[in-house]
Amino acid sequence: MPDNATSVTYIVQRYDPEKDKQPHMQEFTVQTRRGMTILDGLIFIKENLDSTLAFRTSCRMGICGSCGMFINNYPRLACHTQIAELESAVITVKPLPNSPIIKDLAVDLQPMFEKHKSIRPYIVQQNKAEETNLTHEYVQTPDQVEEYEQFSYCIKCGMCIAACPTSASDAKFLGPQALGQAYRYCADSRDAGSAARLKITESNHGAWRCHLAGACSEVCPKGVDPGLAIQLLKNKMAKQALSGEKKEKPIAIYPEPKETKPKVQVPPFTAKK
Amino acid sequence: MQNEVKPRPNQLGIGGWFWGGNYKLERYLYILHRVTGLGLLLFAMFHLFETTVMRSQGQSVWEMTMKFLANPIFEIGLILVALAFVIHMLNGARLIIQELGFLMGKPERPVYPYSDAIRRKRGITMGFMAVIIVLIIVFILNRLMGGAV
Amino acid sequence: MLKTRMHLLFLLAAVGTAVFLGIHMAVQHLNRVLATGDANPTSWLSMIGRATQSGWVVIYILLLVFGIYHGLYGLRGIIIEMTKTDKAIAIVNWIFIVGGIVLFAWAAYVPIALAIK
Repeated sequence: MPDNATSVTYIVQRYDPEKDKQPHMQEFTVQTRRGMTILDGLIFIKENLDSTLAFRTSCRMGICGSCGMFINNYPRLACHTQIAELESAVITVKPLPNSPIIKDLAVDLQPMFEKHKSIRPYIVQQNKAEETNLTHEYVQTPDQVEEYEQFSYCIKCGMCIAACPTSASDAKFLGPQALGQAYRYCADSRDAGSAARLKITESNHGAWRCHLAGACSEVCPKGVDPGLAIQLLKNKMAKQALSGEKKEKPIAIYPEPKETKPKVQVPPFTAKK
Repeated sequence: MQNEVKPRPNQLGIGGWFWGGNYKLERYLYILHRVTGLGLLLFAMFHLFETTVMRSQGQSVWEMTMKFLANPIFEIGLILVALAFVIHMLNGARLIIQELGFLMGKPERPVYPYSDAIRRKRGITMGFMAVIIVLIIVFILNRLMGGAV
Repeated sequence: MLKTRMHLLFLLAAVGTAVFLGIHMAVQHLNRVLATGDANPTSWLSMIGRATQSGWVVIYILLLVFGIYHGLYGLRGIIIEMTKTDKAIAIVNWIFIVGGIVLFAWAAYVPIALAIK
């Protein structure tokens, strides 16, 4: 796009379930300014050209994951993609593939949330009594945190599922998001639910349907690298299959202090009159 | 009263295996691996038929079969099979290593601009690609020397 | 963890197929480059010669075992990615198990029969 260009053409996929039998494309001309993002352009269209355009947006700074869209044939966050970086006078905006369309650019992410829930995305306590009555803190070294920290940055935008070729044909495939999060919890030293979680991920639509296409890691806007998480998950699954379920080691707990200092007596508050 | 709208299915389907966006090399190596695998399986079925049914019927039938297969179309097919074998075997070796998490490195705190393990370890992929090219040259050499493909 | 063990067997079968298919390709197809001494490995005499050597018969049987398992497991994986219900997946599994056994029996019969003869 030349430096002195002041407008781009947005070709947006439209679909109104109450009026349209199938999606169609609609063109808009948007005036641009320096630093303008794709989301800015969509908001301009909604405010000035066609108020019926539906899309999701929230934080507008690449942290909430609401505005994931298929922009110029690549899944991107609309708020995080500048118009200038695409170097094109034509911007094609479609909803994320492999997720059902609710309206226009808004997709139904409920299937992704259901799959995420199915892998138990929480710390499973070693001692069941702790689930309702937590009595201690866990100890975790910086190295132990680094084992899973990268994968904890997932913002559930759904772009990895849009990029995944297995998700394209298999709607029941757990997907890179759920499988990545399954590893995040299995790799967490505080968690005692690995064995049960690995049985869920080895299902017919689980981790073994991943074939290392790597597109999920490529498109992830937070550098979570779900592809790496899935391959490390497979490593864990292979080890468990070959060596059998081992008895969980006790998880390190922060020791109770042996001596406590006496509580500092705070003098009663007196206000000067 | 709110209308319940059923979301419209939006799966790319089998077409999504071949193209789903402008992704990098590894996504296309995945479909190449799949296509070469299916091609080899199909060839294996024909080859098994040839080496069981045809072979068990004696020398004359065997030699007639070999004469039939000396057709240029089958020769080209055999070259494609040799190519598919080399690609599938070496890409498969790479996948076995990387799929089980070996040589992929450790998780790293993401620092912008983000990179991922598969791209960081592209050297491994390129190494296997280089061996593929060398083996293809060996097969071509053999053919040029008058041997079978 | 049965499905994981089956997948690991699939990877092992891949290595086995690569090794035995590699031997097969090297001796019978790269005969000039590797100077195997066999000018025409697909001739009747050459083929019958190999059929009576127990080493070659073992190689062929092992190639069949590894190759059929690896090929059919891979194809099953592809079909499962297009299958919606668990019942259909169970049917697909049984078709592949039975089909694989039948295919192996049919393909192994001739090498074994020729070796015994």
